[in-house]
Amino acid sequence: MNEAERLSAAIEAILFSSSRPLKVRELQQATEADRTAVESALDALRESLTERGVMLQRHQDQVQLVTRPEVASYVRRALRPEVAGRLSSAAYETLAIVAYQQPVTRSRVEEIRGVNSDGVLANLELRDLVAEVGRGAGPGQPKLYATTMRFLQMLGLESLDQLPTPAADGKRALEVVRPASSSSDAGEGEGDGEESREGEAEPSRSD
Amino acid sequence: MEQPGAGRPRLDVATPVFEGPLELLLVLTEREEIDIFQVSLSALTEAYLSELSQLEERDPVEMADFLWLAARLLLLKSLRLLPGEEPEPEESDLLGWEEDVRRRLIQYRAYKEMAQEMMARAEADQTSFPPPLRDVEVEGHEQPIPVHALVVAFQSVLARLPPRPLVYVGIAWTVDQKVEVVRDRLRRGSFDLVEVILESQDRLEAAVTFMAILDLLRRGEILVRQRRSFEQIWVVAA
Repeated sequence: MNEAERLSAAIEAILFSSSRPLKVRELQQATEADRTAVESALDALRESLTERGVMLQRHQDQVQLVTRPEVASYVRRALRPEVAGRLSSAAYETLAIVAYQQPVTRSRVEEIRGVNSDGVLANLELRDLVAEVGRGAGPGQPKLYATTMRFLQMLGLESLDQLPTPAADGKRALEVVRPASSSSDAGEGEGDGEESREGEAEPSRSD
Repeated sequence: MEQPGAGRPRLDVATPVFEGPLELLLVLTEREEIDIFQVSLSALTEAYLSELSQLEERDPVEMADFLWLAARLLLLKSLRLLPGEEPEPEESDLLGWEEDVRRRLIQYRAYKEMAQEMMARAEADQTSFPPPLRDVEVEGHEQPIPVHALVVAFQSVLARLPPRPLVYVGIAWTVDQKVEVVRDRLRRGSFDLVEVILESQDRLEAAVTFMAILDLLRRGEILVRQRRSFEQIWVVAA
């Protein structure tokens, strides 16, 4: 086992024994490795898990080992995990807007949906599918919402990069939607935003 | 043109029955499979009326909104029929509105599609399960007890204490005094948080004791520990 393999194995072991998502920084501290080393160890781990029953889930700066969506039904049969209630179509709609626009304010969501979305957002927040991640720069410093780890789990995604890719014309529309000068200058900090994870699995459609 | 219900942060065609005002437009345009501004008004009205007839309760607001929308479309159409004339400011506004509606419709439809894909995925049991939560262990890696858990515990203890009597004869404790009392206690070893709070004569004293605990926690002088949920909460010197 060379050094890189050992680091990857150590991180796998730490994630396996943790009952909560861990920050990359925590893994750095635990392994006394620098960020670059931990990031490439995580990449190696994700690669090596490709055909396995668990996968590496990543949201912003947090990582966790979760079961692979393709085998969800077996896990369900064996362990009968709690099932969250079904979401309404309004909830999915709101979730989609938050997912593609994050971090996003409530008024932006309402602008796109055309209806008051206070209740829907509160419900999604209660289910831990979206969370407040900071305050916008605009007047009144509106809350900014983003999706959560739980959101990735619900859809069985490894990361937000795997969100369903819109069809060509839809994609253009989503791009148009993105505000040119986004008010997303909040909620980062701690150098969490500088992960460059290029070459990562191209968005795949499952069908 | 003054919009009905001006000031509402929406497109002013609220149709809650369809979960979104744009949805009505969307449903109708999709049914016609044409651009909303190309659709004939009579066809739009037909489609709308057939939607309406399927509803048990008709919402007058929704119907009024539809009329408002129809009026705008009618005006737009008449503008198109009379080319070459300088549009009046009001008419320019309307043309801008048309562009706005068109843009929003495209955006909204894109999100709607994404939402449907997500729903299909979630309902196809394509979920992933996280590791289970485990009991907190005192040794080794501890999870922090969130302050609100302490507050909830405190509330339930408070309920066991008598409210302050009308004629008050007890001592008016200050937080500083209680901080000293808690420090004194700690010199004799760790203690059960609930027990100490229950020693209070009334709720005010209990609250002051709790404040003192939080204050010491903040200063890092004490640690609060609980082996697992619902067990005793111990206050120990840091």
